[in-house]
Amino acid sequence: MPHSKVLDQLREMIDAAESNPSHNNQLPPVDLNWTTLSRGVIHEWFGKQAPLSILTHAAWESGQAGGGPVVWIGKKCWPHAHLLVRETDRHLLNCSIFVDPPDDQTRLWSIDLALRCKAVAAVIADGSGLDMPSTRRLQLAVESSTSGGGALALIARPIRDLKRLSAAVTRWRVEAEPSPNDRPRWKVECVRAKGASHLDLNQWIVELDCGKGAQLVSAHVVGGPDSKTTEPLVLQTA
Amino acid sequence: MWSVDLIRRRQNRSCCKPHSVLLINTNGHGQFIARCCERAMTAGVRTDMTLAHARALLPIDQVHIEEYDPQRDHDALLALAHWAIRFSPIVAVDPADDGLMVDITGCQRVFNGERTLINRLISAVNKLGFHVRVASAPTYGCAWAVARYGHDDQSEIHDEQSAIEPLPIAALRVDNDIIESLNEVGVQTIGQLVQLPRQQLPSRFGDDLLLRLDQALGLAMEQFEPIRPNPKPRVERVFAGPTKQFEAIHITVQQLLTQLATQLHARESGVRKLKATFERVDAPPEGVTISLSRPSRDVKHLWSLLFPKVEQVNLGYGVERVELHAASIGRLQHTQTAHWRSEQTKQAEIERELGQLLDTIASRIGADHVTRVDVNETYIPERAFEHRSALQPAPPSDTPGITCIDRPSVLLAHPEPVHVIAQPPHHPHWLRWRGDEHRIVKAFGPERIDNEWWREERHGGTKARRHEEEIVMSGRDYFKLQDGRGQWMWVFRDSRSEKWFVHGQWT
Repeated sequence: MPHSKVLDQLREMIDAAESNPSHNNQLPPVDLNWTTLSRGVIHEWFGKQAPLSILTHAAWESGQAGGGPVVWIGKKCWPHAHLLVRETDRHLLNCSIFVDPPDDQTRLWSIDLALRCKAVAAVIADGSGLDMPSTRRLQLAVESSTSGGGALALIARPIRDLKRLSAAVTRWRVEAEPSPNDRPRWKVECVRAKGASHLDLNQWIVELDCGKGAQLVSAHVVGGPDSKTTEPLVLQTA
Repeated sequence: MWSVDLIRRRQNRSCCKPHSVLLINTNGHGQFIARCCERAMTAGVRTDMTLAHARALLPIDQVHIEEYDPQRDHDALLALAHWAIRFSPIVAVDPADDGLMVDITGCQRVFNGERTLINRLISAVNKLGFHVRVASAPTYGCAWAVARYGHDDQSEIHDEQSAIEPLPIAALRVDNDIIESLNEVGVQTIGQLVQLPRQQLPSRFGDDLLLRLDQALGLAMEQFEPIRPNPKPRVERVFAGPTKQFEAIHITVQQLLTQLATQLHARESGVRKLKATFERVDAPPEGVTISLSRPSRDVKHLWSLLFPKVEQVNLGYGVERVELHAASIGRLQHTQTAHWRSEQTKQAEIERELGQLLDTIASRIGADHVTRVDVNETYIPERAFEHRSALQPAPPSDTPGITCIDRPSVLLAHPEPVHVIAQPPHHPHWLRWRGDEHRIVKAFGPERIDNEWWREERHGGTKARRHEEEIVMSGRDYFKLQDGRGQWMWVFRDSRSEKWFVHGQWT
């Protein structure tokens, strides 16, 4: 067989493989409406303090979508229980389990164990000081439970850890943002999304609506100084 | 009133509005009142009255009507009797199914006296949601009479005759025919009955009357059948000689676990608390205990929890006997094997897996470090929620309500004092907290959270605890502040000391 034919066949095979969604390594779009925040992978959230309002909102959406218990590991990641109640709905409060590991080693072990549990809908954990092997271990753990859809794995880390290597699929940076009203605001920036070919839009301003006793986050893209968009917008990573 | 109490308890649990309770018997002739509450009795309702008649005596929308189920009442009373074994090993259910007989002879020493025992019994039964009338007497007949026909809810009797003399004849547990016959000749009370010549009583009113009187006075013996508690599953193995081999101990424990699981399977239950005891030669026995969040009889799971603890057991000069004891068990229903998994089986699988996760974490870091949150009925922010071990059973569903108000996402365990520049009653314009200076650009408030005057002020404790208590007991004016960098803080001014504290943050 001539070389050109072999090359053509190889090209066709590569095209077929790339067009097959099951072989596509690219992630689904990352959406700050949270509903499509991927399960079965590690998402790291960096901030001066754990961004509990945002993580709680993600846990809410995880509970609404898949149900099941939500495990909060590490006292730094425990939100005030009032945040877990929306009006009269106590679903998240009732299904929340709080783990207080005494040391870093036990914390890592607890996160690993929770991520492997197929019954858990979301794990929100304090990931301070995790190194590359630890994050790899957590990524493997959460992948091992994907037969049940996988847990939503949100790891809160201090901003100084942003320089550390990590196996997390997405990394988000959260900073406080001055607010014109009585609703706290944060700037959320996606600093890494593995598999994303380009990141055109990677910053949002999110706002906590406390009036309803809820964690309704409205997303506004920071597209530039003239951006006035009020629709919840999607970060296209594909 | 036991039947009515059960209904009331259920109503209280489901936060129903308290209604008059009517329990009815339905037969071919109609519906008749079998039991009714005190409120209904006050309105004129009596047993054997027709339901239509009873309803006519009560407000239409304030009546709870239910079919009378004596078997259910008996089962509930039996369960209460098993519960009451914690006060005495001899407990019996009254044949009339409306009370318990507890033989406290000798038990008062355990509870520091008879009075303490009775008080604790009453308090515990009240906590379960039942009204209780207690009489302690040298004879069961006397206690029965005083508890039902005496004036006080709680009586301690030392002289039977003087205690029962003022009571009506019905207090002797005799048939209505005998009571009516005695009433016809003008004998209304036991005191009047005692005055009659004893020899004539059996011939005129039957043997039962004199027997009951003598039993109440302690002149005749009375027997009753105490309940027999179901022994908890227990398995053991005695070795031919002491062994120090860990492998042998491990294999033995695994085999005993299998035997225990078989016993539990037969009883349709799982273990909640498991104790393993290792009897050693020339040394006191070593024991290890594991607690589970929900009943389980999964040998693999139980072994995974037990193994790290068994490994640490000091075998000394050798172990002669190994015993596994299910100290606490819970119902674990059998499930139908199905090819296709239903929603119910999926839910059961989730529960099982979650239980195993909690057990594994709790066995390593301690049950107190794996928690859920309970809601408390208080306005004080730091007391509104309380962490309890996730291994403890969930509280009843009638938890207090939560008001939807603006609260920070992080609440500090203790309010932290801050330096501020402020002119009360206005909010601060500047504050220093944890070494950082914050210039305040926005403020909302004040929100006054006052002390809960209906709660008693606690005294004693550590200095820090007393200080915290002082802050709680004084009013607070909360402000929601935003600094120049966009950070939000929840700050309050203590009205008693006029000092400022940071209590939370929005992160």
